[in-house]
Amino acid sequence: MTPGTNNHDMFENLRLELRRGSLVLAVLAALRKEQYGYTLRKTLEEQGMAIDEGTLYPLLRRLESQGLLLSEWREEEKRNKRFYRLSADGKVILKQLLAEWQSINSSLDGMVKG
Amino acid sequence: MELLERYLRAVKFFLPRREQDDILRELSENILSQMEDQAAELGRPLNQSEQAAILKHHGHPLIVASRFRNTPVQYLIGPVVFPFYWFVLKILFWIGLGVSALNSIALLTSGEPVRQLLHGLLDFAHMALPVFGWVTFVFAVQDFFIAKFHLVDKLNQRWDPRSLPATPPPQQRVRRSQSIFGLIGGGIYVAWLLAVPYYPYLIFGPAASALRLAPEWHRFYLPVVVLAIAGLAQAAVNLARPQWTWLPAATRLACNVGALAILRAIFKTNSYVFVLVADAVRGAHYETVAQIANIAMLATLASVALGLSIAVIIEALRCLKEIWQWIRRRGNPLPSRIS
Repeated sequence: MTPGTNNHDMFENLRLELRRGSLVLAVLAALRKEQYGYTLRKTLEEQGMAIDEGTLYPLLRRLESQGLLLSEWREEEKRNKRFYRLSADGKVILKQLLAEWQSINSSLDGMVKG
Repeated sequence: MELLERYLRAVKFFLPRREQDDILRELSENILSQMEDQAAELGRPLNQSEQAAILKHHGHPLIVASRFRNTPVQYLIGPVVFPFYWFVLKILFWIGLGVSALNSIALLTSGEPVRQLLHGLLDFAHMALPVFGWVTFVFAVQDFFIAKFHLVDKLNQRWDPRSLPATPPPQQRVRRSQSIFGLIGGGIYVAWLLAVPYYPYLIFGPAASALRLAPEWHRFYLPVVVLAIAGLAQAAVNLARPQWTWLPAATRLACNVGALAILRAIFKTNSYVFVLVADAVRGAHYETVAQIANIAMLATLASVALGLSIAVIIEALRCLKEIWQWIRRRGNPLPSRIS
């Protein structure tokens, strides 16, 4: 393996690790507006937060089981779909996570610029 | 959509039973939406290859299903206990290998070496696997209780950095005393070896008048002397060049490998000692003594072979470590404070 490939792999692993930490925040933020799995994935992708189906759909179920999301089966375009939206607890957690994220962001900003 | 049905059936197989239908219903809707979306973009229904591409992108059924399982990560032995577990396994592995090597060496002398070697390997597996299993069980139980009673957290709260062991000064030179003792001990050994052909008493003691080493030993005499002189030379060189820390381990390794090769040849010899006297009565007595001496010598040589086999493995590892450190020091003469 060449050093270039090594660096690329290392960057890719670190990049994924960095993004993984922000995914919950992105999903909670996007679900302030009700959506079902596939449209949520498209929304996130359009906003620059592309996420694998294999990661998103299980994540939605986990967040629902933790009480941060509510879901409801409803008919749309002649088919039943499961729509997710933020719960009351989810709203509180999202607010706290956003504050934390902004604090991390400003600290990092200071370190990078300073 | 036959391909989608096949895919969902395959995913279902690996899903937790209680949630199977719910997960599959949602997964099916999401995949169908994606397929419809793509079909709308193309302005025609998707063909089988395009459907397959979407399913492939979703992932293998086994992997997709595993992500829906909410069970926490399960392991027998956690990261805190694992280094100790691994250390014990390695030690037991090398001890088992050493015992099997001795066994094989002893068995090789009985003929049919290939069959005996296979027997040796099977014996090792029979001995090692249950031992590894029990060790794993013991460590898994230990890990379970460590997790149950939060012992790691308690240890983390109670520990005091001042209780850590002091850092030993890095040894970058072979000690002068070690080289001097090596020279004295090696000198005595070489002198003893050189005197043995003229003074059999040095081996047989009072029985020297009646017993002699078998003539086959003459073949091994010179190699044994060479090995002894090599040890002596190493001590002398390290007295002059103490910074060559790799040399003792390298010499011991080479000498032990040489000694094992000599032992292998010696094991092919049937008799190690013979009786010198012609007198029938005394001869019969000394024949018994010679038989006992032969058995004792075989047992001694087998023990030495075992010791050398283990030593070769240890020395090889130590030698590699020393050479690596020596190369690093040459490349970076200022040692880092923490290594």
